[in-house]
Amino acid sequence: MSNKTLLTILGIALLLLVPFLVKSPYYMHLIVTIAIFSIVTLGLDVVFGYTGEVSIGHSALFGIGAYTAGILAMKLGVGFWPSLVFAPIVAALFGVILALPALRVTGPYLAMVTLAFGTIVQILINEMTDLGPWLNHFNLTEGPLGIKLVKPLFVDLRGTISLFDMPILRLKEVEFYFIATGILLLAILVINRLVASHLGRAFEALRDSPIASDCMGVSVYKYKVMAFVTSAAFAGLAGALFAYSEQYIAPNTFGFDLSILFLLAVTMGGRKSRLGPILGAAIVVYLPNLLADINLFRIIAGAIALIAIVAAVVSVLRDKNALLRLLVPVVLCVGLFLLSLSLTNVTDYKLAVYGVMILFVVYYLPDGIVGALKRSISAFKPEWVRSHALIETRGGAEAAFAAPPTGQAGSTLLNVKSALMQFGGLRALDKVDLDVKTGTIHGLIGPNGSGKSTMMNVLTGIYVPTGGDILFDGQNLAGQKSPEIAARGVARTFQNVQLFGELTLIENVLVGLHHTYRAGFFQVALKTPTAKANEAAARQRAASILSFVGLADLANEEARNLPYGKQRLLEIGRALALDPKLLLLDEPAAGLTAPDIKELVQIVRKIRDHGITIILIEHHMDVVMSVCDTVTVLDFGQKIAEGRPAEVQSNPRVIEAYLGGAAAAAV
Amino acid sequence: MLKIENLVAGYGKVQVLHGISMEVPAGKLVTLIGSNGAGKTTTLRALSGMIKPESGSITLGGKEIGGLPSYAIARKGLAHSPEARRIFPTQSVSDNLMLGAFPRLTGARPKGDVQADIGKMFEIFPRLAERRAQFAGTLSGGEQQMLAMARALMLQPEVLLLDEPSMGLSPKLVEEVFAVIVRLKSEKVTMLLVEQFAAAALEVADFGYVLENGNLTASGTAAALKVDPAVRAAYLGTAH
Repeated sequence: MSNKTLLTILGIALLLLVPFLVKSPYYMHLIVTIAIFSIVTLGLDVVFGYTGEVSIGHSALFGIGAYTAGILAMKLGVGFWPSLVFAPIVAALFGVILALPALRVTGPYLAMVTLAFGTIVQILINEMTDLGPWLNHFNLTEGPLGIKLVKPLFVDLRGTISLFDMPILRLKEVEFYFIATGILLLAILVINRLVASHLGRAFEALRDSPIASDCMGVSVYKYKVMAFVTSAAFAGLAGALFAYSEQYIAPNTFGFDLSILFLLAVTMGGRKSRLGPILGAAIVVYLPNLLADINLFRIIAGAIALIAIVAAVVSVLRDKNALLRLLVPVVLCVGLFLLSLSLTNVTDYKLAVYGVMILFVVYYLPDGIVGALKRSISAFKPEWVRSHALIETRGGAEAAFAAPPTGQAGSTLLNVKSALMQFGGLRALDKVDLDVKTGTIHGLIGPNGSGKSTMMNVLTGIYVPTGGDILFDGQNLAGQKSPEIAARGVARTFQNVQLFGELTLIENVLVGLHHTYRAGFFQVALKTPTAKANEAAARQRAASILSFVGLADLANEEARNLPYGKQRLLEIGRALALDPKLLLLDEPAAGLTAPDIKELVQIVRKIRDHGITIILIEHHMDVVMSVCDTVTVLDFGQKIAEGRPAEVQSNPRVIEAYLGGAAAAAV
Repeated sequence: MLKIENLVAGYGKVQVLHGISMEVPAGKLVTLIGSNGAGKTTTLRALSGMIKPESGSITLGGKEIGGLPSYAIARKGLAHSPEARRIFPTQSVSDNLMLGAFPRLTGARPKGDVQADIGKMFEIFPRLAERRAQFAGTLSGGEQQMLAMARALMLQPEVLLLDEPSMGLSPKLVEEVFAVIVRLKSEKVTMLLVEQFAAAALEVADFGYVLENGNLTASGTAAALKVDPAVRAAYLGTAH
């Protein structure tokens, strides 16, 4: 932690020094622009890096922020500070309008919708010079002429700053620099807190497995919208700053290519980090200046070519196979240098240079500059990189369970009445009745394709049943959505393991504990006592749950690195975090070897002993026979047998359809 | 046919296999057993090029294949029926089988009679024949497992890697899958089998290796391993 504090202090000190090191007002302005663009790219990273959605409309949201400030100042005489409040609100409202329909479906729709939105906004800004007779032909945006603003007045600092002998002309830029970087630092702080909180985990969870997210009560739709709206607000805030920084805004600034630049900046700098988007913004802002000066461009192209050659030689000396892989980028870098010598003007090639940069990043820096640094230089991945994941992992296993669920043992917890699930002509569930008693382990077996997993999906809202009722704890679950059903106390695991791969084990369990958090966005941003207490309590509980399933030692490992058997145990732990009344286990022993199956059976029994009712789908007959109180057998979507395990095992229909000849004696 | 020497492999910083050596002779069925997390799947993934070995050699028919990309290894005749099946869900069952034969269609492997082989797969796996025009994603778990095996066989492989072919199957289907493995063995298909039902795997295999924490700790004929008390205690115990 001391490392982090030290770096933060160093960084802030450097920022304070900048105005005294940079004398040219032009460069000062560039730095302010970088700070402003950084606010956009940091916000964009929440959507692009964390939820994995692509927005090509951030230039429009940025423009909306700028025009909100401009219009407020020009038409209503509202000043700088209020517009810093209004601009993000207006941009966030547009974000809501965009996100609500676009994020309802998965796929590339957000990219397409935001692309259309960007085009429309630019045209509207151009054309809204006459709002028609009803509004008295009001000229809202001044069209292509643009809006002029003046920098706000501040406390007069001339007395103090003249100590450093700065010309008065630069003062405004310097003051504005402090405002912009101050707001940037606040943005970094808020985003840091956001992504490290349960909300940030929700963003990552829904990217890694939308189905599991919904079934953990973390509504994919809700949190995608939240991420996008947050991102839009940051773009709007940056827009207002931009309007006052430039003191002039016009529609053509906020075009489609600016959106692409924002995306380029995030990708090139490195997603899912704070440094990456800032670095990317700096490159993107500085680039046009670089291109304007042909000599500087030649020097930099030459330096890049030289570095590429040296790096390639070193790599090839270490590993001969690297030659082929490195040939193309080295030739390209040298080619760029030769090209720069023959050109007299690069500015005309600006868009081509952006294009080449995008290609280069996609081919050679898929994780961005920060990602590449993290991988190659160990100093860049100290423990604080994921410090929010470092926890007290030694929670007692006995604290894994909340108070036992209420309900009379032996009473009916789940009553499925003639559930019908029809896919086209196929009846995957053909009027199945199921009666599950509180506190029991209810086995569900049957041949592959008999409808067991369909039943799980119907019970958890992934499928809406074609007919029938699902009465759970006095409520009808039929037609409810997965997050609602999860909130009512139905948790599940998945036949094809659905973990959040890029999250650590403890974070996976914390997503399951999402329902225990009371803090919302603003409480997280302000790090209120509620937010801190929620997080501390949840981490304690998550550590206990990991102990219970025997994974405490691996708490900070990424889930995707776990072997298959342990992934299944982690899924059970994550489901327990939901404090379910009913736990659905879909083939928990699949792929497990005999000793691990023994361990699993112990865990399942302990869960039942804590008062949680279980429905178990399993093909390992020895597991089914040893733990289940009741067994239901499905075949072709119909119930063919039900009863105590021994009765079912000797039922001729079950042997015929499911167990087969020799298997009746257990595998 | 397939020979591994001092294979070291893993994921990023995490080394899973610490130098294992084993051999799969032509026409034989070899099984690799071990607890969950021992490195069985990692071994198969390294063999078929899904992860790059850090060191060691893998030869197929005397030719080095270690470090080659997966598609090149498949062209040399190593077929992999992977864990969790990985069938092509939005293509029909027939098209999945055709894709299994892809190197034969492009001339990277001897062509033979692809249609006849598809017919043979439908004979071995009658359930697939009934569903030949259906999208593979709409098959049940057991049918997908069969499709993954059939697709691997469509390569006419020199060596077939089978990762947990019985996973998620009903007891009756597990029997059917093992019957198919026995049939392939009688047809002299060279196979390396990873299976959670270690006892059943040793029942059908010629030879077995025991993998523990990334190291081979025992090997021998399947018959010998089956009666080895240490192996029985660790891997063949029942689940009660």
